[in-house]
Amino acid sequence: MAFIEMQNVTKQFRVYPRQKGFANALKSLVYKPYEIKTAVDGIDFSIAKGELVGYIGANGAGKSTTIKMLSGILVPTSGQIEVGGLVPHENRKRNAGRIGVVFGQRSQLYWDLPMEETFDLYKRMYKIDAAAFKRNVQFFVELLDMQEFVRRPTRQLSLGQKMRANLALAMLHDPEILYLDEPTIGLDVVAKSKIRKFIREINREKATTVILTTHDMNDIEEICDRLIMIDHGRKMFDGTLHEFKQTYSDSTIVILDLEEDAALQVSDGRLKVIQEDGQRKYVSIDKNIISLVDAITQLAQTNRIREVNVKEPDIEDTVRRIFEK
Amino acid sequence: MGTYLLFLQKSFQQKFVYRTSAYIYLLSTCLRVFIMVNVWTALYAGRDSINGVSLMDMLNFIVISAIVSALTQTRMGDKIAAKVVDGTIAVDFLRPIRFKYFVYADQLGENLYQVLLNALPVCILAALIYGFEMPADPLMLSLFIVCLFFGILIIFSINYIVGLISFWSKAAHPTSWFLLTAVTLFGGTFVPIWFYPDILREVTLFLPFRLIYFEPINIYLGRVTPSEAMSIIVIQLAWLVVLWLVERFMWSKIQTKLTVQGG
Amino acid sequence: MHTFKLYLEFIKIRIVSHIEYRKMFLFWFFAQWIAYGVQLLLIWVMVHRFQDIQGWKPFEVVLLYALSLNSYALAGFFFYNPCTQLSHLVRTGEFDEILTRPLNPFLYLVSREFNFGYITHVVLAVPVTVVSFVMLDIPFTFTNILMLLLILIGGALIQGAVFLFTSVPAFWIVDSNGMQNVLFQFRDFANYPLSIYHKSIQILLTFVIPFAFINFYPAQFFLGKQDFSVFHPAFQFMTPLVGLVMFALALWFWHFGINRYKSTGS
Repeated sequence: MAFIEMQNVTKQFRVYPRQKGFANALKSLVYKPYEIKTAVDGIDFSIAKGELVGYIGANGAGKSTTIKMLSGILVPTSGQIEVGGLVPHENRKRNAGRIGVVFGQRSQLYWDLPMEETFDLYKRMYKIDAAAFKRNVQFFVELLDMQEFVRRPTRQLSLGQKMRANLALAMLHDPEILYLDEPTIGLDVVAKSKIRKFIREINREKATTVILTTHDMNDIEEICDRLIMIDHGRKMFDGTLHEFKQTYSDSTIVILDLEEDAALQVSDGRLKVIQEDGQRKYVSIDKNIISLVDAITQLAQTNRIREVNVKEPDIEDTVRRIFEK
Repeated sequence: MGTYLLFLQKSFQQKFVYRTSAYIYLLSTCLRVFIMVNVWTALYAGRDSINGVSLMDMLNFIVISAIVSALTQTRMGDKIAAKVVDGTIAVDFLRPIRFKYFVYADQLGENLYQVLLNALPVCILAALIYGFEMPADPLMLSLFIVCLFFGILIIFSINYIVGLISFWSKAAHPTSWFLLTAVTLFGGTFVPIWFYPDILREVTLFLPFRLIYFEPINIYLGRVTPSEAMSIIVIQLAWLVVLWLVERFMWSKIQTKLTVQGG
Repeated sequence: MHTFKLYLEFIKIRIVSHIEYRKMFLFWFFAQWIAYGVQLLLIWVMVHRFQDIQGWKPFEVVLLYALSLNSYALAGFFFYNPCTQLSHLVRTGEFDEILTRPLNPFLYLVSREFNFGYITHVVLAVPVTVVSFVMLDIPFTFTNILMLLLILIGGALIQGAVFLFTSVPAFWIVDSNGMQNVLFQFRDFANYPLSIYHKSIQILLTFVIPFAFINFYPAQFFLGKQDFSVFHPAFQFMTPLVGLVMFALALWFWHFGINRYKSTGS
């Protein structure tokens, strides 16, 4: 059995449409019409220990609901979930001791106190032994570059600093699994890169299994080995990043640097020039109609080329295209 | 004038959006009136009158005070303080209108909403159950309306001045608690001043709070002669002048403060 | 024991952050103290002017007020914040985070959201209780003090239960704060002797929302009164029992709410 296992998991909930008017308000005291929504619809996956998994999908696709079921907050309507031999919602407290969770921008830190104080509280909450606690605090403070603000009250910290502190907090008790819900949302480039570095590093050092949801595809490219994509509660894709690109991206971009005085000559209608930047030309090719080798051969025949580069499609564009379909 | 009326209307409409909370407030007001009617009936215990006040007077006091308290409530001090603390006051200053009247209009819209959807229904209900008397003399009724209008202006001015203090303190102080307490104690909103011990009653004579709430109701109940009512209104006007001077003084200080800070 | 200490730690950290804003805290303390003090004073003035209300003397009514305020404060320390904020916590998803901790969510919430501000009410209600004991010639015997403690604990459990009952619907209604406001208003009934109200209100405040057990019935033990109307004099001893039963029911309701949340949330 894999470390994290979901078998045919479905989660439904009721939504009550808002009724207008006083009469309806009174009626709703007795009977409230509702619709059943399926947030997660028969999802299967298994994740091995130490994997770094990106969990992606549009808003409302069912990402958060999955994470909540994995952490034991919600009970699935049907299907089996097992995390490290435990059923999360039946052993919520034991499961909680083995996971670390960071939900979006919400802070776990005490507003008026320095983060050290919150660390101490977590030491007690998770019964962390003194040596491990000291080691982890030191390690995280260094890895996340927090020396400068570790003694400052939370209210004086920037968003990125708070996020880093929250990540450290979630990892203090050496959880086996780390769930991250949009860990880089709203952060600047520097903070994002620090957080990505941290996630990769703790995965390497401590073999922590990480599942993260994100809208930022750079997170996925830089952190994850594996990608699970869901849409309308159903699993659409499960595989490596490379496979994902292979499956979903139809076009590749060839970047040509022409000789000083040459002009671009394209005769084949299957080659599309999408951008020109001085002597640098961007040509998009559809792999379904023409192979990369044929395309480059053709271009080389009709043009005087100094250099050729091939750019794999941007994962963000790919995902956007899939959801737009 | 039209602009301020528009602000008044907007704040009224904004309140109207939250309908469920309206029912809740209505229920709360009903409970409050119901409890006070029970308490005063038990206190009278069948006696005709105490200190020259009959039980019927007292019940009228409770019912009419539901309307008066809806009209005289104010949170503008807190609102101004909150705006000063988070800096959004700058937006209000950018508008080509008198800040004070904007604040007044905003508050009055809220109060009229409370009267119409909260106090008035409760009053009608209470009047049907417990009985209710209108002033027989149209002169007294019009004096009541004038006195109530000035009463509203007095509490608004006081609360506005309290709000202006936040320009110095730069903090949201629990000023509305203090003010509410002062109005309760010296304004006779909870226990009418008729029943106060002599010392406390004399203290209230030197303060503006009884002019906001207690005196208009006194006129309504016909417990003063028309000429006494006139002199009450004169005292109200005197207080309004004093408060206006204080406010102008503070305002000029604030303006120099803002210029100095380059705000 | 370890867990208990942890919960104490949460409370301690709350108090520390309160004290961070010392000046502001004192200001608020003073404002609330005065507000409650003035209300108490005016109730005294009112009853004093009329000599009594349904046979209850001014200081007897003051004792009723003090008992109610004391038990309200004890309940408020623990339950005011969690209960008034529950719908907010559920809406923003903060409640989910509480569930990701290896702790009992109820104890965690109650200790994490401890409201030290209720010290104001205690600092008013305790001296007022003592003063009314003195003014009413109630001796400070061992029995009386023990009885007082039991009444306060029982009363706090009743008030806490009411807090819980009104907040748990937040798990399925988006906004349950309105209901809470109405129940706060109900507490005002208990500022005066129960016997001034119509029988139906007396039954309501005895069996449905048992605020009468917070002060009206137990106070009669100290005062040697027999103002029970249709109810049994044994009611004066039943506050702790009523408190325990109410609180147990409220806890059951809380668990019902959480389970429902887990199976119906998204």
